[in-house]
Amino acid sequence: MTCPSPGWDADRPWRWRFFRLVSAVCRWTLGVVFLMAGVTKVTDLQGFADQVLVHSGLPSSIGRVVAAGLPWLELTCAACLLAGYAVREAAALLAILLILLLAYSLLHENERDCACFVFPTAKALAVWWWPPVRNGLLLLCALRTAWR
Amino acid sequence: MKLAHFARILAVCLALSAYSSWAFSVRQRESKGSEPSDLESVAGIPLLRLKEAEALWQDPGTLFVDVRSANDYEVGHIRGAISMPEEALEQRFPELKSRLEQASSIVVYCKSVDCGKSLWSALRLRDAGLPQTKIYPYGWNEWFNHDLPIAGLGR
Repeated sequence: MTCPSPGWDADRPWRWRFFRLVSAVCRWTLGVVFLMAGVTKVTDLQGFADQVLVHSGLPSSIGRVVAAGLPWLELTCAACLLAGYAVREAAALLAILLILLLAYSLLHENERDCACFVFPTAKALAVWWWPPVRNGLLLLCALRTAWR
Repeated sequence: MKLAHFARILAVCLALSAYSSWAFSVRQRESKGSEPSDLESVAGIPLLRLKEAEALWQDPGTLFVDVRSANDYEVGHIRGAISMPEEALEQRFPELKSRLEQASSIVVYCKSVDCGKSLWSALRLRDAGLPQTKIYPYGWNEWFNHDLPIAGLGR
C-alpha cells in the first residue's frame, strides 16, 4: 500500500486558502480601484476629456475616442469584478489596459501625470515613478485574477 | 475564458460610450444655443467667436493673453500667446504693460466657456487702461479642437 507524501496533505489546505485569499484581495482591489476611477471620470466627462486632450499628448481624434470609451470600460470591468460575473475576462481586459498605460507612462516619463486616475482633482505627484509602480501593482492583481 | 464574455463586456462599453457621447453632444448643443455665444459683450467687453478670434490672430497687432496656469500654458497654448495666469496678473502686469499697451487688440482666453478667469482678467486689464481688451470665451479647448495654430504639445 502506498501512502501519499505526509507533508503535502498537511500543506495543501494552507496554500490553497492563501492563494484563494490572494485572488480575492486582488479581485476586490481591482474592482474597487477601477470603480472609483470610472465613477470619478463619468461624473465629469468633459473635465476628463480636457485632461486627456491636453495632457496625454495623443492626437485629438484618438484622444476623443479614449476619453469617450475609457471611463465606461473601467466601470463595466469593475462592475463585473465586484458582481462576480465574467471575472477572468474583465481582469484580462484590465490587464491589457494596464499594460498600455504602463508602457505609456514609461515612454512618457517626462509628461506630468494627468492626475485623472482615481482622484482626478488631486495635484499631480512630484514623483515620476509612482504612476508606473501603481500600474505595475494593479497589473499583477489583474494577471493573478485573470489566470487564477 | 469565454469569447462571449469579452464580447458582452465590450458591447456594454460601446453602448454606454455611444449613449454618453450622444447625450453630451446634445447637451452641449442646447447650452451653446442659449449661453454666451448669443451675447456680443459682457460688462462692455466684446466676446469673440472662433472666426473672429482667428481673424484677429492673423493680425500682427493682436496679442493673445493666456490666463490659465503656467503649467497648462507650458503644455500647450495658442501660438504667439503670452502667459499671464489670472492668479499672477498683478505681478506680471508691470513687466508686460508696455507690450499690452502697444497691442491693437488684446484677446484674453482661458480653458473653455466654463472658466471664469478670462472675464476677471479682462475686467482688470480694461480697468488698468486697456480698452482694446476682448474675451475669447471658448478659449483653448475650442481652438485646439479646430486644429488651429498652437505651440507646445510637441508641435
